[in-house]
Amino acid sequence: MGGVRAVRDVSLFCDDGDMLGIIGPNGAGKTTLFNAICGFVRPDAGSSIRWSGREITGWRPERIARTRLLRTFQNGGGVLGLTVRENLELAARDRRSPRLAPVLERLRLTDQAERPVADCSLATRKLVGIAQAVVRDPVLLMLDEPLAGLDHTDREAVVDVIRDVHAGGVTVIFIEHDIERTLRLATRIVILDTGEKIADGLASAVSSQDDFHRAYLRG
Amino acid sequence: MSRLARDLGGVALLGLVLAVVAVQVPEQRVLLFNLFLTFGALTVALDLLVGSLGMLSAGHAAFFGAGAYLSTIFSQRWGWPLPLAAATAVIAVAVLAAAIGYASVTRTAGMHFAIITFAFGQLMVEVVNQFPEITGGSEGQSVSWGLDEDLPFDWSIYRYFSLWLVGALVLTAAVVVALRRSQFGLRMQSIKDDEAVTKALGFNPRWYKAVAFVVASGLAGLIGTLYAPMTGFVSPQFMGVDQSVFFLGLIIVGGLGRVSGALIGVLLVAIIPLYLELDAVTRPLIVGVTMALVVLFEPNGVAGIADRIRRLAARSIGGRRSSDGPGAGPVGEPDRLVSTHE
Repeated sequence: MGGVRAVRDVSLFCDDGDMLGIIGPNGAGKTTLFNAICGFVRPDAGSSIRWSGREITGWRPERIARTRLLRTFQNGGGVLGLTVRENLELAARDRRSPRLAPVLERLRLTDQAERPVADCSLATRKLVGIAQAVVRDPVLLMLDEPLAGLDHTDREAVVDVIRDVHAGGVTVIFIEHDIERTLRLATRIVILDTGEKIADGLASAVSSQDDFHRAYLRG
Repeated sequence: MSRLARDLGGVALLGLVLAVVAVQVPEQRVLLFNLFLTFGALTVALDLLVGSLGMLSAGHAAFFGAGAYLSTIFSQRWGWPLPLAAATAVIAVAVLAAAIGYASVTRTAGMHFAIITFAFGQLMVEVVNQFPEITGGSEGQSVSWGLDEDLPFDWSIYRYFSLWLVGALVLTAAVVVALRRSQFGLRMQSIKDDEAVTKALGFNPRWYKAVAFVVASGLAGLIGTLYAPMTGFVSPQFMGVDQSVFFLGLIIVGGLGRVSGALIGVLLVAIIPLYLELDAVTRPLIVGVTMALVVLFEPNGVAGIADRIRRLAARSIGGRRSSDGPGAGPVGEPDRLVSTHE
C-alpha cells in the first residue's frame, strides 16, 4: 500500500486511490508541506516521511521522483525553452516512448505538441506540468495549485484532466484555493492554518465544520 | 530528417568548407585561419557550458593550456609517441576537469561557479610558474613535433595543422550538437530553465553539469594539444583567466547556445580586427565597443539579430497571407485551452 506521512506539527496520511485536497489560507504551510514530502526542504529533526513502506526523510528530490512520487509547481509547468512534445520526451526519458501520444491526447495537448512552452497560455503550461508527471506513470501525483491564475473555463478543463488522471488509478494530492472546485474534486480534505492541521476528513464532512469557515473567512 | 541528422549534416558541410579553405588559404593567412579554428573550437566547447547550462566557466583557457603543456611534456620531455602523448594529455585534462568540476558543481552555482573556476584557473597558471624545470615557467617553452620531413604534400607545416584543427573543430561541434539534440540536451535545457522542475522529474542537475564540464574541458585540452605545436610555443599566457573571459565575450557577442553564434563571435571580435591589421590602440577599442553595443542592444548576440530579421521577414509574409482569408493570421493556434477540446 502506498502512503505518505509527514509528521511533526502536521500528520498526514494518504491512502491508495485517494484524491486529497489540501486547503488553507496563504502562509498556512501547504507548499512547505509539499516541499518537505518531495525532498525540496529538509523537515525538522524528528519528522518522518514514509512512502510506500519506506522511510524517505532526507532523500534528495530526484531520488524521490524516481519512486514515482511526482509533483508539479504552482507557477506554471514545463520547461519554457522546449516544445510541449519535448517536455514530455524529457520526462519520459525516451523520444520514442509509446506513452507520449496517449498522454498528449489524454491531456488535450496534441494540437499544441510542437509549440514552445514559452508561447503557451498558463493553462496549457499547467497541463504540460501534469502531463510530464503523468508520462512518468506516477503512483502518487502532487499538484501545487493546479487552478491558480486560470479563468473559469480553463479551470473546468484542468479539473476534468485531474479527474481523468485519478480515474486512471493515480493517487492525487492537490493544494488549491478554489474551494468550490476542491469540494467537487476531492474525496478527502485537509485544512491547514499557520502550520497546523485544523481539519481532516471527507469533503462533505469538512465543509460543514466551523474551522473550515473560520479559515476561509480569514483567508 | 531528424534535427540531429540535420545539424550533424550542417557540421559536416562546415567541415568540408573549412577543409577547402584550409587547402586554399594564402600562405600569409594560414596562421590567422588556424587561430580562427582554434578559437572557434574552444568557444563552441565553452558554449556547451554557457549556452546550454548557463555555467560561466572562467577556467576554460586553463584546460586548453593544460592540454598544451601535458602533451608537450609527455612527447618532448618523456619521449612518448605523439598520438599517445596527445591522447594521454586529453584524458588527464578530463580527469582534472572531473575532479574540479565535481567539486565546483556540487558546492556552487551561478557566480560562485565562475569564481571557483577562476580560482582553479589561476592555480593551474601558478603550477606552471612554480615548476620551470618541467614547464619552462613564466617564460614558456618551445614546442616542436618534428614532423616536417614525414609529411606527404609540399605544404608548410601550418597548413597541415589547419586540417587537423578543422578536424578538432568538426569533432567539437559534432559532440556539442549531438549532446544538445539528445535526451542529455533536453535535460540541460531543463536545468538551465529551472533546476527544481528538473529534480522533480528525477534528474540530478549536478551530474549533467559535471559531465558537460568534463566534455567541454576535455575538448579544450584536445585543442591545446594541437595549438601548442602549431605555434611552436607554449606559455602561461595561453591559460590565464583573461583568456577565458575573452572566450566568454566571444560567445556572448556571437550568440549563445549555437555553433554558428560562437563562430560568428570569433570571426567578428577576434579574427577580423587582426585581418584588418588594426593598430594596438584601435583594435581593443573597436572590440570593446562592439562587445558593449551587442550586449546592450541584442542580448541574443549577432546570431540573434539574424533571427530577428528572419522573424520579421516571416511575419511580413504571414501578414500578407492573413489578408487572404479569415483565420489565417500569423499568431497561429489560439491561446485558450478550451479551444483544444471544444
